[in-house]
Amino acid sequence: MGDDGIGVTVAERLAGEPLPAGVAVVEAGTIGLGLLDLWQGYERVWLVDAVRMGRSPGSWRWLDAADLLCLEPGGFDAHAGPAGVLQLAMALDALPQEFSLLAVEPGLVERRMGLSMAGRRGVAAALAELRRRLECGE
Amino acid sequence: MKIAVQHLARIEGHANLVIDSARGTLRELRLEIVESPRFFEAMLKGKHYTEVAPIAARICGICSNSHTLVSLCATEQALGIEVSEQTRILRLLLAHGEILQSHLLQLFFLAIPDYYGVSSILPLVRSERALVGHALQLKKLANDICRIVGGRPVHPVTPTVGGFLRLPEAAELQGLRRDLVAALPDLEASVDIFAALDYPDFERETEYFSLRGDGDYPIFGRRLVSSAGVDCAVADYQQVIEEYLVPHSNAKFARLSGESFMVGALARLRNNFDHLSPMATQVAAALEVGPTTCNPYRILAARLVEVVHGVERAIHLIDDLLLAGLAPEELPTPKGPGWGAAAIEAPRGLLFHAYRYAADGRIEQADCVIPTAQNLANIEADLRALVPQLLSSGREELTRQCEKLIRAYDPCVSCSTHLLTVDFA
Repeated sequence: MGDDGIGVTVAERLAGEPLPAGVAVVEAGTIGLGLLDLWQGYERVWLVDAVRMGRSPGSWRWLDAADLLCLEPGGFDAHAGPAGVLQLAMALDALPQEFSLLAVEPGLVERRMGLSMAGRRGVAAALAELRRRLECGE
Repeated sequence: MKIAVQHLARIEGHANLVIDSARGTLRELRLEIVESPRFFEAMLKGKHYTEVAPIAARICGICSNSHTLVSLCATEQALGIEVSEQTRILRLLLAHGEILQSHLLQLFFLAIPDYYGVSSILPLVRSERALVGHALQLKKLANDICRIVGGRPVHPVTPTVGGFLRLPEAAELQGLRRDLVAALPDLEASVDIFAALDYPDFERETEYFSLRGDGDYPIFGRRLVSSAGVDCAVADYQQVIEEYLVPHSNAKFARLSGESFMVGALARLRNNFDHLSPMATQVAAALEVGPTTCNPYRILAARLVEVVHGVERAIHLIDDLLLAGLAPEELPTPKGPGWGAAAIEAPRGLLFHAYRYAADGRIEQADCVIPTAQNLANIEADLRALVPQLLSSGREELTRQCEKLIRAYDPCVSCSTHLLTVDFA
């Protein structure tokens, strides 16, 4: 589905690089409620995904839990999207110390293989930002 | 009175319910499936057999393992590939893991709020902390089964045509077995919770359609049976299931012997009660669900019986694997092009995939029949029988009971809308 694969591509590329101790990269697919298990034992959790924000394709921004709940309001349902999982984690007091979503604006989300030019730019920019934060231990 | 419930909550995908009644008579009822069609069969055309299962798995984010496994089986049927006993057991274990994942999500996170009078699981975190904690523990265990066998909790990466690309470590399976045994007390607590629920008193006989197990409660199988006398080979499914279009749905509806039929946990349980594990049989008695149950609200109870059966069965499957010892296997090579059909009992019921392959190993024709699409006509028929009984109860209660009934089926709307009017000509 074109640029819907931005998050997967970032995860695959980052997983192939040397990472600092204690850092793990997981391509979690549509894991939903399983996020609660996945982030157990970690202090910081960064999600990376394509998010329609009405910005320039290929651009990115960090969203925190409050931003995400504004973007995707509503209760917990079968989709168990990040907002529902966040609400449940908050209610359970099971949020990691730091939670952020690196949201990348997709270009083309349609039935096609591979990323658009804007999607590829978004992947490169997201990787650079993640490397920067990992290197400076932010 | 007109009631329009836009975007039914706590189901997978987007559906609306429209009820129109006048002077105590139901005039119209529609379960509108408004999710856009997704044309997966068209996407599969021309794909090489090595790519088909990972693409087919994307039909669903909840039952991706079932789509993967049935897709592999259909491909193997078409290409004349036999799998080993080790592969067969690992696939069964993975399928049980997914049934547990899906059933536990539906029971504790989507259905139970209806019975506690709240709109979602979130208020229960404070008032019923033990219940939620206990549900999360069980859910994690189900995820662990899928992760250890399938490589990750959803959209598995290890199963492939003819076998597995990576095998679980014996130590992982031993740990899983330990956790499954430790979960049994949690399951007893679950039974107490669901036995205490006040299931609405509504019954309607229908046709119950499932695989018939060959010495075991069915996951895979070759024989289809229904309570109205259908008894045929899986390969003949297109001859017994009639799919049809209705104007208000982007998913096809389906009929069998009569106007509607049910697939899923209750249909499986009714048709295969004699194959339940001993513990699951006891739980069925405690939950008052059995081979004659025709109250669709009690699909929840049937689901919990299957959870207990699945945990027991998973323990035995792990024992079989550990006893035999896991060994890497060479993947068999295809014998040639052809047509193959397979069925699996996915969490929501019978799931069929059938493919025709060309000599170059690429798909010429694909057909997928999804459990929810088979259940849609039955849900509407239940609602048509239920609503007249509730017309005097007021708009709010009527809406609440209808939503509860729909949720009992755990419809997966996104799955059901993948196949509208696809012509390969």
